[in-house]
Amino acid sequence: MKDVEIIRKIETGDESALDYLYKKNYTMVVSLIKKNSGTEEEAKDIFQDALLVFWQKIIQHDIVLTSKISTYLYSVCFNLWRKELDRKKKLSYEEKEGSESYDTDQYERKKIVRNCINKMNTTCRKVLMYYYFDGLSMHDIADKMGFSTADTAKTKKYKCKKELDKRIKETYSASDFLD
Amino acid sequence: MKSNFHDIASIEKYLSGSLSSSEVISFEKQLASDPLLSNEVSLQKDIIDGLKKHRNTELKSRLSGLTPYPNYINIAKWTWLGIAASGMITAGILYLTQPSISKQVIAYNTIDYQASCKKQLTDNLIASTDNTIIIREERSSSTTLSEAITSTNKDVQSNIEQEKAILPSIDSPNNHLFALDEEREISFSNPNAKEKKESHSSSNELTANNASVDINVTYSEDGLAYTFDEDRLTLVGRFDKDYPYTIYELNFKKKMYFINYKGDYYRIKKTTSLRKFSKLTDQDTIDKLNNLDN
Repeated sequence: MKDVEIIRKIETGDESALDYLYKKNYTMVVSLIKKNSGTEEEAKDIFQDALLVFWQKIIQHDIVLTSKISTYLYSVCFNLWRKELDRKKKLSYEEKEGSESYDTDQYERKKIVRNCINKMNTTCRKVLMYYYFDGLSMHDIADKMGFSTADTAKTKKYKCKKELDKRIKETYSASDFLD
Repeated sequence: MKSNFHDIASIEKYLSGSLSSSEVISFEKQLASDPLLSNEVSLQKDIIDGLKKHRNTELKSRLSGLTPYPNYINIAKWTWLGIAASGMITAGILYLTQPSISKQVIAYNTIDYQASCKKQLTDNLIASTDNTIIIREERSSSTTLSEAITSTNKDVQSNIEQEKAILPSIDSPNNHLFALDEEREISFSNPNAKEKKESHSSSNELTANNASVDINVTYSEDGLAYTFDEDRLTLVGRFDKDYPYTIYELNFKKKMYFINYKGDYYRIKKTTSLRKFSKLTDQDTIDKLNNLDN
């Protein structure tokens, strides 16, 4: 697949392009990071992070590519890895940090959110994920989900989000809301 | 606590950074004075983050389940350049150089190209420009052709301009630069072939290769052929200057070489005698090779 085609597919949220980029560039990134004191596991993490950011940026038109995709991914991974190496170096000098502020309320809320998302029906969850993470347009979401129009997708998104919000809030104890 | 559609929409806009800076300022003013709104914004942020995280995890699982392509290498994309007339018979000699031996590579029928290739391959560079990516193969150190640079026509062109003035020295013992001299019939079996404008000295090494003498005999005007012995690949044929050819190395089950010219793949096997190009028909291999091409 040529770069142009890959980009075109990513813009519509076609995950086969993502798969392709992963398979094609994996070995290259792994060898780069292994050569720079990393493990395959670390390389995989870095690469997946980089690739998924790339995925989002392309869909949201948040990037201007001036090189081949492989070159871009390669340099992003290299930079990410360098940062990670710096971070590791710093940690080895510091003692274990004092306990970070641990907000139980927030932790609880995030847990509730996570559970409610897991319990959502698949269609709703997909629509919301495509909207918030991938950043696909309503038109592309409609295509991907098999809805008839972009408006259908828009309405669906609104309804699904409203439903999710409602579920989450219901799960809260009333005392969380000042009334 | 009520949160109507309007509020949620504004909150989402705020969280996604789609508000203008003045809108942000006024929204944040509201936030400062309205604890309910502030709480709602915080909750919405958690919800949206949760959705994002879910998708992120889902995609990562998907990727982790994939099998990466093995370590393929795309090798030099050579272009026929500087030939006045198309249809000229030319031959190219490529060395698979070894790092331990400082052999210099390539001969082409123009000194310009020769010089630029020499620079590229003997530098043993791993480099990356806007349009290129160089992938270094980890396994064997014996083949520096696998460390060759892939470059676009444009890059080669620009290198050519820079290198034009440089003439390789033929005195050094390790110099195996060849030029295809019009005196050598091997390269010009086409009677219509135009002579090169630039002539340059040829190394004596070429005469040692008897294959070049045989070329005339078995070669047919419209065919493409090659010899590939030890570490030297010789291509013979009417290569059109407008169509670059690309040499690929696949390290799949064993090392295999292919050449792509005008849309078709041909397998290159080790052979001391001249061998005609034969088209690759195995779709599976073609797919693998196509995957390299970008």
